[in-house]
Amino acid sequence: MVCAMKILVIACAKLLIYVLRLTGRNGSALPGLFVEKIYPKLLEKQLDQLEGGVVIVTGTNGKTTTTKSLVYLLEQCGLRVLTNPTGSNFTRGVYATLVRYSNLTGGLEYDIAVLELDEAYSRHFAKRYSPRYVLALNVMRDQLDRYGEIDKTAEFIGETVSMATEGVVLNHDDPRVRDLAKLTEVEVTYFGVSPELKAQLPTDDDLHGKTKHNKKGTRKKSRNLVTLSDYKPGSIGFRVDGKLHRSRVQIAGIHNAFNLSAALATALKVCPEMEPQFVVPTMKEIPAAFGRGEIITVNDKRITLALVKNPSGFRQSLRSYDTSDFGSVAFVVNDDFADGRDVSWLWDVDFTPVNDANAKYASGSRANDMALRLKYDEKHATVIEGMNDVLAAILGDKSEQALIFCTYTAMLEMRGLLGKKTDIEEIW
Amino acid sequence: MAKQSLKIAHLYPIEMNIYGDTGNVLALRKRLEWRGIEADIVPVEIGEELPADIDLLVSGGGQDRGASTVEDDLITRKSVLQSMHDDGVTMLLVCGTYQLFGHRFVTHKNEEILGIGVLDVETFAGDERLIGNITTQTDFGPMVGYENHSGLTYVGKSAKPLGRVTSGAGNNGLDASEGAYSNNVFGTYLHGPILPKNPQFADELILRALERKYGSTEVKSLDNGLEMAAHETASARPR
Repeated sequence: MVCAMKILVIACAKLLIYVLRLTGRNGSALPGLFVEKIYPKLLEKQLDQLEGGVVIVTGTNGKTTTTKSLVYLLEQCGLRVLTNPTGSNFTRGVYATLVRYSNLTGGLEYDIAVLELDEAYSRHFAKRYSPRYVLALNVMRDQLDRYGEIDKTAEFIGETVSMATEGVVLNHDDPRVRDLAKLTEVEVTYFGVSPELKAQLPTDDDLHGKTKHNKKGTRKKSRNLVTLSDYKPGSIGFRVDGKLHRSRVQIAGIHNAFNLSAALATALKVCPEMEPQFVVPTMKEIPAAFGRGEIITVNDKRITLALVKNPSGFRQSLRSYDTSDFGSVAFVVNDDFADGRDVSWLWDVDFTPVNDANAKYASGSRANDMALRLKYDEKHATVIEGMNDVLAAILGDKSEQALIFCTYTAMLEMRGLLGKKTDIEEIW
Repeated sequence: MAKQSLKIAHLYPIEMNIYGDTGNVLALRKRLEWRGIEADIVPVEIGEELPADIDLLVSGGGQDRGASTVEDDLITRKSVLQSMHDDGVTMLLVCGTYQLFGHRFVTHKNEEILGIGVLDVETFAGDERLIGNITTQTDFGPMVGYENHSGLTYVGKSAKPLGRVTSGAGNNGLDASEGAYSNNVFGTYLHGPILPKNPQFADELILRALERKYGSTEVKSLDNGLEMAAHETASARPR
């Protein structure tokens, strides 16, 4: 029986999205909240239509890139994949996604959903709706003002992992994530990195001191389904069941190559008929995710946007780019709620590798903090608080390439400004 | 004249390093170097020896009480650190180590975790986290930082509060006090980290250490334009 209530709710929410867009406001928060309040059952009603169920991607860093890559891989497998837009990784974002992609008779014509969910929040979703697979990437210090403690975050992810009905996919090189295996009775699949590359992919414990969790057994025969075993800028190699497969990649940074191995391990489980020798070489088609090393060209100037949310991500990002290659490098730091009010973490990032001559601007609501941080690593950036002004300065200089490190809300704003100057992929 | 030099112990750089507190060590180092004074930084981990001739000691915050071996290690250093306090060594203790330099931390279950009692303060587990931007007024000028703690600290008679809260919670959210000090030992809840954005306080610590070692009565002034701009910004941000 077609449920009249459901159709009405979907229609109203779609209308709401449309009206918001007419008034120039994108976003999924309000329509999502509306549905969540008046018709929470929509979640089950729509997701139950997916034969392949739900895959949850969670962890501190790399969710967006991994989700986007997993969607790509599953599409190569012939599946129609529903996914939530980045940043909408709470329940209301999922509701908004369901509304947007349901047709007017309430049908949801997809095979499987891959949902990126906030690491502290995903457990709430998983308790509402059991995921078929859970992919847990890592636990890093991020916005301790929100979550208090990193071990707490690991516990939260553990609750999500324990709800998986068919399988979980875990990072074997992150001790806090690896240990979650004991919380589930379903099949556990691991991805990881070869011992040779391990030093380039530090865990939170490596970054913040000696590794407390013991290392027993990690260097015996690899238990990983997928191991990142080779990385050079622009090219990667994965070992799957002992065989090496290579691909070119567009995405910069070894941490993103590692995200690809997480996506590959998950895709191989969800879609067992997928053959690594054929699919791995096609991974060169995966573009950088929104703001995660995304390149936007304005007036022949290539501008790379690098999202930085926490010390580990910022360090990885600094390692992924040679700042000497960019005529101007800007650091845009906001302290809105979504960025984290506390900017102390900037002092956990080592800026000494940054090329001083190219580290031109500090911007955002905490521009002064950022410039001060750089000063104590002997880098001399000019403070330009307004984002419009800093963008004008970047576009005004003669360099061919610019690199902008941005915190979350800074990235949204910067992307919005760039969107007025050139065509960029729309994020709703 | 031989180049002046200060030896700075960074106590528990690995265990007690939550959110940027290593920036305090960097701030001291740079502000010494910019004045032509050498900074010799000595990391001191659990079980490692604390050199007897240090001029400054800095330590930060960690995760929740009881979860680490820092407490046991610190207890073994109790008499050494007490004599350093009495001898006028300058110390900066942030958050977790501020609590442990007090007499005790009393948990929710009324269990006592013993501190070393160098500062006359005690801390009780609280029910909510006191989180957000904070400003205080101190004898060393206005200070700004970010607090993130659930322990509620009360200052006894032999220590003085470091500052009066002008916005935020401070030691316990009740008596408007923030931090504590005794002789040249300073404890505070201010992250941020505290020293880069409060350069006058950083210089106060440096001066006290130089005074003890070389009898200095002043330090060369530095350009604090950016430091104070960041200070002003932080003071004006919402909680």
